[in-house]
This record gives sequence, C-alpha cells and structure tokens, in this order.
Amino acid sequence: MKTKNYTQKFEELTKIVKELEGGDITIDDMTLKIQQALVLLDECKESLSIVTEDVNKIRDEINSANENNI
Amino acid sequence: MAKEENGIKYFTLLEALRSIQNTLLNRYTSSFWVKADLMKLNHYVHSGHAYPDLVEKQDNKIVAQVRSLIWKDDFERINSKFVSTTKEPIKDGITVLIYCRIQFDALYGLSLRIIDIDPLFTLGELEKERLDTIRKIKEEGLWDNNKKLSLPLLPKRLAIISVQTSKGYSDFMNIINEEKQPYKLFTMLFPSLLQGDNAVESLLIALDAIEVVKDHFDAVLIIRGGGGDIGLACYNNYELVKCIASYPLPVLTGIGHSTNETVSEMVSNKTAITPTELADFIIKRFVNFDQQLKEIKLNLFNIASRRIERETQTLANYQQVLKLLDPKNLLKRGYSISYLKDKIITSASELKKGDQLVTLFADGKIISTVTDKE
Repeated sequence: MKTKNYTQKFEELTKIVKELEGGDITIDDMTLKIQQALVLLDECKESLSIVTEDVNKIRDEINSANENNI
Repeated sequence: MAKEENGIKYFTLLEALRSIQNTLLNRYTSSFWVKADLMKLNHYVHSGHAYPDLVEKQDNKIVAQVRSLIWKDDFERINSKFVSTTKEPIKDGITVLIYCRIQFDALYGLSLRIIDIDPLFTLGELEKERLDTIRKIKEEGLWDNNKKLSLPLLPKRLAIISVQTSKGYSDFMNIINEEKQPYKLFTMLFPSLLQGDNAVESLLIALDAIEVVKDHFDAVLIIRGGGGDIGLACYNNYELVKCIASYPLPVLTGIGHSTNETVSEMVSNKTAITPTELADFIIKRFVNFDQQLKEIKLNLFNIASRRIERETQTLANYQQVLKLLDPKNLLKRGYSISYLKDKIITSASELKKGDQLVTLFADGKIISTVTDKE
C-alpha cells in the first residue's frame, strides 16, 4: 500500500475536522473520527518537523556562505 | 666641354649628368609639396636615415615611382610630429603629403629629399579609411552581427589573442588567476602581433586558427595593452573588421587605449577600455550569477518558512478543535450523555415513564429507569 504524503494526510485531516464541526455525526462515529484525526495530526506534525529541519539547513548554508563572503 | 672624335661631338657621362643636375637645380630652386604613397620606408636604425620608395598608383598600378631620402635629424623630427598627431609612426603603405626638394647626383641619380611630412594629411587619410570600413561593413549588413551573438552567462572557455610577454596579457591573467577568486576559467593563448603593419595578417591568422576549434570556446578575446596609443590603425582595416563582425563566436576586445574607438571595437560583442576592465567584466558575470543564486536560495528559504509557519498554525487550530469536540473531554468537565436503546437522548420529550436509560460519565456509566416526568 502506498504511503500517503503530507498533502494527502493534511487534506484527510481537514475533511474530518469539517465533518466533526458540521455536527451531523453520532457520538460513536465522532470518537472514531477524532482518533483518526489525532493520528493524522501527529503524522502531519512529524512531516512538518522534517521539512523544517531541511529548511533550517538551507538557512545555515546561506549564513555560512555570507560569513565566508564567497 | 664637348669632345669630338670621328666628327662626333660627345660628353662624358659625368659631364652629361652634371649638366642635368645643373639644369634641375636651376629649374627647381625651391621646395614643393608632393602627394605620394609611401610604398616602403626603408628606415635604417643604425644610421638613422630613411630612403622611402614613393609611388603613385592608378587603378592599383604604379604609374610613377621615385626614390627619396630623409636624413637622420629630419626623420626624428618628422616622425615625432607624425606620431604625436596621427598616433601612428611613419610606416609602409600610407599616403603622405611631403615637402621636398629635387636632388640629382651623378652617382645616385634622381631623388627627392624629404624635409617635412604633413601629419594632418595622413590623419585625414587614416580617418577616410576608418569611415570607408564603417560604410562598407554597414552596407554589407554585418555591423551588428557579432553583437547579436549571445555571450554565455558564464564564459568559462576563453581563446585569447595576445602576446605572452605583453603587459596587457599579464594584467588580464593576473585577475583571471587571482587566488582569492573561486572561479576557474580555461584560457588558451593564440599569439599574434597586435599593432603595426603586420598586425592585420597576424590577427586574421589567429582568428582563423580559433575558428577551426571554435566548439571548444565560449568567446574570443583580443587583448593588447601597455603599448600606448601608437599603431592602432590596423584595427580599422576592412578585412579584420569584417572577420570580427562575422565571426561565429563573440569577440571581446581589451585593446587598451585612450583615443577614439577603433572599428574593430565598434563591431565586437563587447569592448573594454583595458585588459583589466575586460577581466573584471568576465569575473563580474560569475560574481553576479553567484549572488543571484544566493538570493534565489534566500527567497526559497523565506517562502518555505512562511509556508511551514502557516501549516503549523493550521495544525494547532485543528488540534484545538479536536480537543473541544472530543466527547471524553466534555464528560471530564461534568457533562454526561444518556442513551435510550443506543440512541442519544437530546430531549425529555423522547422519554416516558419506565424507559431504561444508559448514562455515560467520564469514569463509567450507570443504568437508570424513568420514574416521573414533568
């Protein structure tokens, strides 16, 4: 099974949140959906954290280049 | 005095030539101006004298020719004035207006002794050649051809026409090979004369040699410097200008002078006043490119940072919404949920006496029966 990427997970999370906010859902379904949403939320945060590290590396390279005045 | 032998009067050769000499000297008592082509200067460095061959041509054929002479002192004075006005030394192949007087010697024959040369006349001739070249190149539609060639963003492979020992070449290479600059360029020298009469042929040979291997180069550079402003008329030569204008690679010039721009420079892809300026121009292209890359990287960083910030904020909002909606959290705050046959009761009107309810609390559930209803 193909792993979902950040965008797919984020879209799924957004869809669940909208369903929950709509209120047209049973308590049992709500509990299930919230559990799914929390899992997706954690995965999205983790992906975002990896991207943040990559971006920070670019920032460090820029700073290093400026210091070396190349 | 004529002699007589067998009834025939005759003169000796010396008498005849001396008579011609006297006649010429009596007829041509003053100096006069003559326009002529200086076919060959014949300047002898050791003695300092010059013996120019003067000719007049019609339809490219010599129709008059005479020897002339310039004594050492006259030559130094005339040449100095000539250089100062025309930025060219007296040389073979130029048209001159000479101030001279007739000389006739029994041993050496007829010649013109040159007393002066009008440099302004020759300057006019040189300017005429320059303007002729411009006109012809424009008429042939070649004027902008080399300028229209696109110089690569990073010209890394340079064919250089110069003299290895010249100051201009040395100045250029010092900047290109500067230790602190991080860009490594490939250069190859194609030696050539860069000024004077033979420069045109020499430059054309070098350009032809580069054209054979043109795929290995991004541009051709003509670098001259340290030679003052003398001998640059060759850069107005039609054949050389035509070759540069129609050359398949961008031609960049750093000829190093302070006088009017030559036609070769006018038609070249890029012209710099000095070799140093040309080297700076090339290195600057690399520096600018590097700077652009840095700016792009910085922009990417800023865009990515803003996006991450926005996503992080959205996720935080979702987390808050989920927390608020989670029934477990409602129960923790003291609310309870009651079911009747697995259906949530949201109104008292849904119940009647005797119904059995299941009520959820945060820490468990109870079962109760409806005993009364108000």
